[in-house]
Amino acid sequence: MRCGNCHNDIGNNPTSGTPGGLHWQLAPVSMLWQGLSSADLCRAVKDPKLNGNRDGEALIKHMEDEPLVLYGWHPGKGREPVPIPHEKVVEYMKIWVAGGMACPN
Amino acid sequence: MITLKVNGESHELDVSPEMPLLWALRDRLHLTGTKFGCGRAMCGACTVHIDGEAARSCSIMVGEAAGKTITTIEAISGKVAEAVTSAWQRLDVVQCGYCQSGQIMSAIVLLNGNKTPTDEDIDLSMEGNICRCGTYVRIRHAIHEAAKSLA
Amino acid sequence: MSTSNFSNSGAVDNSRRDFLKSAAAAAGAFIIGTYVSFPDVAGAQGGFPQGPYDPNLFLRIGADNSVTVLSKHFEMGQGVTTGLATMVAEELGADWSGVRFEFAAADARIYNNLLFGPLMGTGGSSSMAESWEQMRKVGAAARMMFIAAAAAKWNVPGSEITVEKSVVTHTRSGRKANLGELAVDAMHMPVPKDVALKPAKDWNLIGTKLPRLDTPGKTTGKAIFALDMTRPGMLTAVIKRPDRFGAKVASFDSTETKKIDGVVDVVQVPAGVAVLAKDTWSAIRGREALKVTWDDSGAEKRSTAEMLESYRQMMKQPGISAEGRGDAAAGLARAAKTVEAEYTFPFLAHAPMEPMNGVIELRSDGAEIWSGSQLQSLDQMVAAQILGMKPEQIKINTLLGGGSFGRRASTTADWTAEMAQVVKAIGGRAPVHVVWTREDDIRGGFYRPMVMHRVKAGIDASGQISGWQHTVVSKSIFKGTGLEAMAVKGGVDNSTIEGIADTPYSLANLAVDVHDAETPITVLWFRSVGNTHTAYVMETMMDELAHLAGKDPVALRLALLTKQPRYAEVVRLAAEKSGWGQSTGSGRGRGFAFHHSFNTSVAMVADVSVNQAKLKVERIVAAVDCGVAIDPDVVTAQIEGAIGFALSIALRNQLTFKDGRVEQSNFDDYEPTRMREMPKVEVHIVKSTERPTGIGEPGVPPLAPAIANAIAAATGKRLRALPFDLSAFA
Repeated sequence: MRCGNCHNDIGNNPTSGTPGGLHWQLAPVSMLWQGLSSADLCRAVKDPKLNGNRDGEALIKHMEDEPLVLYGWHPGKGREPVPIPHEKVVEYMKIWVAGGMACPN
Repeated sequence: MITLKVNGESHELDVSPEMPLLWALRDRLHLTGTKFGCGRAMCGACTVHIDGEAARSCSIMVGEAAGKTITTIEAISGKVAEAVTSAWQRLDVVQCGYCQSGQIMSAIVLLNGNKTPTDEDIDLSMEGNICRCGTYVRIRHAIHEAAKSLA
Repeated sequence: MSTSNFSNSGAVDNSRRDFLKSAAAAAGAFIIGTYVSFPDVAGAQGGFPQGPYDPNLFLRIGADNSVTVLSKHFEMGQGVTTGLATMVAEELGADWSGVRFEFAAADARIYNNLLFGPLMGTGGSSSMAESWEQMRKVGAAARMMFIAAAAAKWNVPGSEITVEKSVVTHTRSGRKANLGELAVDAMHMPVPKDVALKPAKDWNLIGTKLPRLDTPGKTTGKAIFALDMTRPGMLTAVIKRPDRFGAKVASFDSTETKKIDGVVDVVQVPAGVAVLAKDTWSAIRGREALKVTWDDSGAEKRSTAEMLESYRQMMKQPGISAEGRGDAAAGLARAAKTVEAEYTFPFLAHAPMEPMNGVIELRSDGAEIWSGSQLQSLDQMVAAQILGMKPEQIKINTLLGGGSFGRRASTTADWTAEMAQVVKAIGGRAPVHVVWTREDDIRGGFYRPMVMHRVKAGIDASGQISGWQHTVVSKSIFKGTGLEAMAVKGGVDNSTIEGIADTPYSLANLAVDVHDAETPITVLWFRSVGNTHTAYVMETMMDELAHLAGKDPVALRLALLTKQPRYAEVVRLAAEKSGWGQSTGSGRGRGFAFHHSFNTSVAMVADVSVNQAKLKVERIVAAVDCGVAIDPDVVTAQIEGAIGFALSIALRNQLTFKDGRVEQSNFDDYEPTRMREMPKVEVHIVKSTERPTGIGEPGVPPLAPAIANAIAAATGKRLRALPFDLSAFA
């Protein structure tokens, strides 16, 4: 079954509780971030081999515009959104990219 | 207005785009072969074909389904559908029968894509269709029988 | 061709007279779950209860030669409509390809369950058993009437006329006519007073696999279930019920609900607050916007652990004694080895795939209902009471049921009552379809009760079971209901202890006592009722005792069934077909269980593989003796289905309570068996000429204990609670 056989492109289904959004899919295994330390997470996010071949600007655009990312702030009935406001995340990302994308040791 | 293409016919429905396709099919178009079992895509009783794929109509909103080709149990046709229905009947698969529309719809998609499914293929493809009466032994047998008849 | 008009002929009056006589005798002999075995029924009442067999009441022959059997029983997947039709068609001489079924009108005067007394209903795996003579007599009487009609028409002796494959033939001349052509004349013939039935050797339908009559509709989306019913102007209603059992509506605010497009009305009823709308989705959304405050003063507020602890406290005192055997205390006192154990079983939801629902239309002179009604007489009585009518004013159109497992037969007709309550609350101004969602179903009560057992059993020096003391705590299913007198004897609800007190094993010293748990949580019979838990305890304890005594578990059963040769045969057959005694290899185990319920014996041998906490049930070999297997394929399907149904009960299903609220809500946290979990199944049916007994339920009880015993064989560990907790194996 494809993701889209239950998950709607047009968004969350408030009746069935099925989350949705454009390009609904599981992230690739290379983006399996759960359990990583902050340092490893930082390195994974900026590595083009793991992050979908994105440079700094592309990463900012991804956080700004990608529907599947924006979903995190409108997750649908019964789910908690990302605890940090979206504008803040974009702002921090811009600062980080401008500063050279440094990572902790 | 939402236009739904169901079983080869176009229907203009004055409904919210958020209405689950299941309820549009059942309550507006009176196509009651597609069933309500859980409303949350966990049981598969609501399975229809959207553009040839098995979709859970309780989970797909009419706004999403608009313009796509929707087929319900009432209008399945073709060699695979005939083979599946025929095997289901020969083997008397059904008990209460409430889940069987969804089972048949899922089985058709499986055989459309895989003419020689293994038991594991069947496990994976039919995972989403619950049968509370426990007709799984016969569903599996019927899928194998249908595959044989299509060979 | 058919008529339910009694004033027609003297012949109809004859069969009706017989019916009324037996109904009067049977009133008070209501047996649900058949707690009285058939020999007792026959002995007590001077013969099996008789029913009317006027073909006009049960048969309709079409001009197209179709033969429609009117089924007094409810089809919930168990194959009853095919079974009833088979009996009629056999004796009539009908061509199976022209046989159809329809549901009979809800009228207990004609269509009562002969084992239920003056009530129409399906349950207790009693349908084939109760109608075995009656339905065959319908067919045989019809055959005689067709012969008489042909004889009169052709002016030939009836002895020269045969009926076969729906064709009536005068053998000497070869003259033929089909049933359809002769129907008008035949069905008006006098109903014969004496009807001879075919000997078994002449059967060509009974005992064979026949295409199920409900298969075509159910494989094409054409079959109509109650949820599919619509009536002109119908409103769909969903009810907000309390989230705690025993709570009541204190107040409600429907302001937001009424803003939802499609919502038409919001009314309070005894069951809760009903939202009525033009379609199902609007009703569901409307209810979501509804605000209700509850009066919890009389509600169950405990959590599962607290309730179980209260059970343990109750067990500290002696309970009400059921009829026992010998002297269990003395038997235990002289035991060389004893085992004492506590067993727990959770609340279970039936969770049929079609949630509860039904349509009701109110009229000035009565009401009409369309529903998957399993106990029509009770539904009629309760609806009538609520509407201020007589039961006969409530017309019930029975429809196919999307599963039941007991839920659609309710001791209080709860979901039918809701239909009457809602349509009454709106003054009957529109037909109403009350619909339960899956969440309503999982949380709506009428559960298999939560039960605790305590057993102390002992074996003497020679390995014989010397004593068995058994205590059970459960809320009673029957007490406090209109059916109480029927199942409660000496203060004990038989359904709590069936399978223990009446065990067919020759246990010389057995003491059974019962404690009634009190709670507002509603409970109900659940496919095989008390046997769902008693069989588990009996058969796992038997297995433990066998090991303790150094005996083979199958050999132990046979030693205890010397007085029951039919049951012993089932034990032997399952053992033989499963290769019992052969090694299964490491990481695997083989376990045995036997249980007799609803007058049917089933033995199962389970093969499992256990790898730490991962369990796979690989194969179940079952043997069954249900008397004459009217359709062996249906019998096989019922055993296969019972295994599929009961597997998730063994593996994971439970309803748990936190502060009185059910924690589960849908199929994610109350998950039925899935395709990939289904084991290979072999079913072996004992060839029998005894009268048919039940098959809808008996396949459930032996599954979980067979698996538990297999797990014990593989790991040495005993599981004394359902669902299995394998965390200790990890």
